Amino acid sequence: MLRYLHKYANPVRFLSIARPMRKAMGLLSLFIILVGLVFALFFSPPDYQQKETVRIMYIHVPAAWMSLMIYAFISFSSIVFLVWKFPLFLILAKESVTVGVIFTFSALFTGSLWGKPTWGTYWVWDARLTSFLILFFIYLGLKLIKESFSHSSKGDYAFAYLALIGGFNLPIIKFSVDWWNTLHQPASIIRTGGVSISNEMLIPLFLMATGFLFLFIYILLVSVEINLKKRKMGYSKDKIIN
Amino acid sequence: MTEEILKFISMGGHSFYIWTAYFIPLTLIFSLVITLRSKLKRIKKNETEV
Amino acid sequence: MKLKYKRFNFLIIFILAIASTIFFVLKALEEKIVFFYSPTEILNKDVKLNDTIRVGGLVVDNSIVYDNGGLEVFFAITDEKNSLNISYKGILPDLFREGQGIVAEGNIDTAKNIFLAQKVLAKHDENYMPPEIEKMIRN
Repeated sequence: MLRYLHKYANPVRFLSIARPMRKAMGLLSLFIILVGLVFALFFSPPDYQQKETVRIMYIHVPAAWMSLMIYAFISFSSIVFLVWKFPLFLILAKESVTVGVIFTFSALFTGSLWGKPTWGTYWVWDARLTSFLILFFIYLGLKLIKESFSHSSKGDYAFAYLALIGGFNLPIIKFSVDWWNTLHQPASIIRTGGVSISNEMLIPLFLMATGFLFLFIYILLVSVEINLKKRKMGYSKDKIIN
Repeated sequence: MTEEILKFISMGGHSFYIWTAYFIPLTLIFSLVITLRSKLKRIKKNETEV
Repeated sequence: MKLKYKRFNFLIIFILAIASTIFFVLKALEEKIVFFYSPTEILNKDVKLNDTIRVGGLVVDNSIVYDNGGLEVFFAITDEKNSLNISYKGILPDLFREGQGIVAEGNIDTAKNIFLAQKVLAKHDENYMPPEIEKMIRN
């Protein structure tokens, strides 16, 4: 494992596998998202309680999953960076922030639009919504550190430690609906007692989730390639591109 | 036919919530994709010139 | 090598410190994080009744009564042990119906033993299915 990490922590080798993977991920994600949208908006049935409004779930839930997954990835990469000092992992963590911000904003935004017709309010301060808003602020903090201290090792450490501390919010978000009573409903997929969503509704949900996952990988690979190229050019010629 | 399309767009009276929920996030994420792609292109162009 | 273990140990201690801090903060805030109280907790006077509070439960079957030309609505909610009467003036969410979980925000009128709601929110459960399947399950 460690030797494997060492091997691919090398930027040149990383780029050699990243480039072909990037193209495949880009096409695959676009295709899956398009098919997912057709199922989400057209083929899937309305819900027995919420009627058509349930369609918001197919974008809200995948976006929320991505926010959590990307944050877990940022935390993990930051720990690897802090312990083993592989610079590539810091780059991976940093380049995941912007896309994470967008997914987190999307989850909050679509949740709000879903809340109004079903619950009767755009926003409440219950444990789930509040902890998710905190996740958004942590993401913004990471973005701010990343943008303002891009050329100092102090900034790198501030980034990695904030990413690590913010990781504690993830289990709080996940279990908030079980630990405290909330307006937000409990989990429907990962829960004891099995999935509580009908199969026809799972199709668009998983299509959108897979599409988003591949899209994230695509975006990350493009961003890392830009980052590495910028660094390389920074050595040969002083900062051509900002 | 047109009636069916109109019915689809109205989403059982919740068209505002549903269409906005899809439009805004997808616009955001795909504008990030477009920005990154053009950045990469620009860098590649520069690289070959050097 | 040695440096790596030092960094690793430092991180472990750092993580443990943060985790225990968060644990105790959440423990201390437990009361505040609760979004709503149950009718039983209200009846047992576990909460300060003068403040604006939120109470949640299932709408009791056949308890919904519209008054004042449909402007005011009376209903009861239950947590399967105790029930609480609620009065509310305003627009109800689409999901409001008998048997539905709801959360009402307002304050209790101790003299009349009724909860005066300023806001009623519908809670929905974690089950998602098409109407046909729901009908099949019910029958």
